[in-house]
Amino acid sequence: MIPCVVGIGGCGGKVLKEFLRNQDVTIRGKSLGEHLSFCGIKGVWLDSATMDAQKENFYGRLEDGSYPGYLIPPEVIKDNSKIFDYVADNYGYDLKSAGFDRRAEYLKAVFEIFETDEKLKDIARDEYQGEDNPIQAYIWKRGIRPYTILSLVSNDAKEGASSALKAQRSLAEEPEGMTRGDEASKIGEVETLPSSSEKSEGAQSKVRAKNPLKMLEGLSSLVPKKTNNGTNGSNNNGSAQGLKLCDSILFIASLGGGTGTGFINPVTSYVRSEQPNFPAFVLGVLTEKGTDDRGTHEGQRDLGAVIAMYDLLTKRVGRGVDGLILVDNEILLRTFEKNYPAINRAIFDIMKPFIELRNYPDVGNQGDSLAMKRVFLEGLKLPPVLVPCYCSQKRAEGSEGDLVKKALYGQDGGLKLFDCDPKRADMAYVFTRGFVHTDKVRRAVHDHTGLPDNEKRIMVYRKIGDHGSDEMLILLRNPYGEDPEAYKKEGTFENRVYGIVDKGLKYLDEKENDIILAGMPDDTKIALGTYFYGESWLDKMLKELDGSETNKRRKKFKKKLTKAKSDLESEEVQPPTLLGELEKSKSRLEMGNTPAFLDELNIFTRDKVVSATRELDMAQAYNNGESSLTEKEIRDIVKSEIDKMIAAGSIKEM
Amino acid sequence: MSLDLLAMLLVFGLLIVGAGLHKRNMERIYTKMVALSSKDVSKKDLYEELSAPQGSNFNAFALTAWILLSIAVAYFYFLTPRISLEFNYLQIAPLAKSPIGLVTFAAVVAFVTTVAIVSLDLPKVYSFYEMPKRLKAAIMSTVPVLGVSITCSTYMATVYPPEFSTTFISALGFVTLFGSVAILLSPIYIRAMGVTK
Repeated sequence: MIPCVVGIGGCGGKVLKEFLRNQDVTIRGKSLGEHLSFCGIKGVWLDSATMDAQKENFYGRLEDGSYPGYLIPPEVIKDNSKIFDYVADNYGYDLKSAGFDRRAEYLKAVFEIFETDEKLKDIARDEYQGEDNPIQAYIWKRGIRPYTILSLVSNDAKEGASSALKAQRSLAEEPEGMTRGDEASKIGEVETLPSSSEKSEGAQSKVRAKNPLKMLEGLSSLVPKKTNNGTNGSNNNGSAQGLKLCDSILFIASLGGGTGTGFINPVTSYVRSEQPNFPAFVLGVLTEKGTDDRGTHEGQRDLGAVIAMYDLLTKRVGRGVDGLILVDNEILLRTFEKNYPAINRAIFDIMKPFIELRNYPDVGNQGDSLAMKRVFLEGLKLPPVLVPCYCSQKRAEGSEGDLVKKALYGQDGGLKLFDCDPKRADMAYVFTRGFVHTDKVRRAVHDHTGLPDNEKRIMVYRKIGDHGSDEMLILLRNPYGEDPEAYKKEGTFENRVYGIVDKGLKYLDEKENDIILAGMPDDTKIALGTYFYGESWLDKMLKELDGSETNKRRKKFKKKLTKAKSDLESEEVQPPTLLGELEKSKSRLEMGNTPAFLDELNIFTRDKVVSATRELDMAQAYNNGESSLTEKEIRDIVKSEIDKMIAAGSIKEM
Repeated sequence: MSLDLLAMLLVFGLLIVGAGLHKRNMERIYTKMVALSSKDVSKKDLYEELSAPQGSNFNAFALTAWILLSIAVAYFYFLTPRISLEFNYLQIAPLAKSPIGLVTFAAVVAFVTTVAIVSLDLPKVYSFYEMPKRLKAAIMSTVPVLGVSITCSTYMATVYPPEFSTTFISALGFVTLFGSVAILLSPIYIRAMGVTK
């Protein structure tokens, strides 16, 4: 697989740097050649703080045609933008906020507003013709798509990410009323994805290759021309590898750090609307314990982390990301004694076996991204957590068992990057670089995890590696559950996640005023209040407003609260709240149930989501011959099924 | 045996051993791969998978270095009757008396080397080896180092009486030449040491 690595926020940018570092030689940092990163991967840094981005020497402005580049998504919003005014006036959110908004729900709310407010969509379409949400479009079309194989189906992507103005102009020049699906089918000349096994008869069939050579046409124009070390942005050094475009996305973000994961779901859903099967993985770095360098307290970051994990892991298969590779910064800080450059380097080294393109010749291209997506999601309804365990050591005959043991237990040079009991994993994906024997690896993994010794549960991907050393990365899928006592035991997945959820809940309980800010518009306050706390918050607010009928503004707010409460009460099934769901997650962890997070939560689109818990209950009732379904529930089920079919590419949205 | 002959044997020995080790490295990888594979593995497929791009800057510098190396060898041994009284530059009268003789001599050697490098697909050799950036930088640095060797040889052949000790100039020319060969072949030697473990 060749991922387009998208670093998000400060942490993402720093780790991404390691992935994109030029492997070619330069003279005093200047180069006449083309930028050569490991395995030809490409990437972009998304940040919302221009000041932070400008401090970086490694990245240049993507809008200026630099590579590696950074993109500041809010910059696409024009100074006199109508959507800016609309969102500020009606929702109290600043679309051009200069980054670093520690409120975990900030980006989630902003993207949901664009998803739900029809009036805003109309204004956006007028202003950025054809686009409901220019930020999403900007990130995807200018920041990511030019580096992916999907750019081959789009003419405008060939323009590259040359300038913000150009980007705005391009968005504006798109034919009116043209949907993204139309755009893909309009081009319709080339194959969009390489694996024939994954082709469905849906949207993809409309983009079949007439001539494979067309895939290579104009490649040099797809990526920015100027690199920050004077090289060309395209990675073509004459080798076949250099010509390749990315076939997947790997997001790298800190969970609970700041800008973080707020961009991931919206961008993924935008990509999915264009190409339902396009693989997207996330490498999430869980925030450390205690107060961080920027003085943000653990509770606030834990709430951010838990919201981020929750949102990533509760989007149904086909709608959200295809796997969350979870790394605990606490473990990295302990192992590398707070040496941050070494930590960033280590994260890159750990991911090398996953990304490495040089396969064993007898198996060919075993690890293409679509195949990886398929095996990660096999048998699941929700995206999996993948815990990376890594070991590298000097080559020695019969070292497979040693490598597996060290990696899985994080001992003697091995690194287990998130607390877990390997015996709880339901699948293991082993990526190696070097000379190892598949059967020996599988047997060793079986010995240490108890997983069946077969290729369906323990998958081994062998790659050619560096001389003199063998490396192994084991991704353990969902390594938790079944043990009701696990959440009390140090070193288990349950214990770490339980701790974060607990601290997040405490923060929710204690810092309500920091979460729902007094200056926000009433509607936003109500949406956030019901998202975080539900009916109890409405009751509390109503109680506080008792006797304030003389104040016009408070009276108006009270009226809105009363209406919200009656709307909520009229619901047959109470919509889930973050507080309630986190309490449920704690209970699930206490009982040893999986998955830990179940129901998708939204701030402004609460009625659109079918509760996974309720869905399970309804299925149970149906199986028992009980006809307890209301018309609304039937509608929701049908809608949910249609969504899944659209996501799978079986049918196409008009 | 003269010191010059010994030095020449050392340089060529290093090159020949390097070529042999490269062949052995490839054979060893192939043997290991066959032992670890469930199906038949063709050498062609293996080499295709094994090959990784090293960067266009590096390729350009490596190619330049090898061409300069051949010029440096030719200048060091064949500009003056160091090895043989019969086979040297001074015996080719049209070149020796021409004001652009040295350049022509270098151009001919460079042309022959380029043809040899291209026909043998030598740049591909580096693509089989994992090279850290420092090693690439070392290989890049052989270009000016070989320039020193060429300058020493040219000085020895053209300046009479010499202003500096000929022993020193000759030694400097040899050390820079030998060092460059060692650096240019180092990925092969390093791998050979790693593979044998």
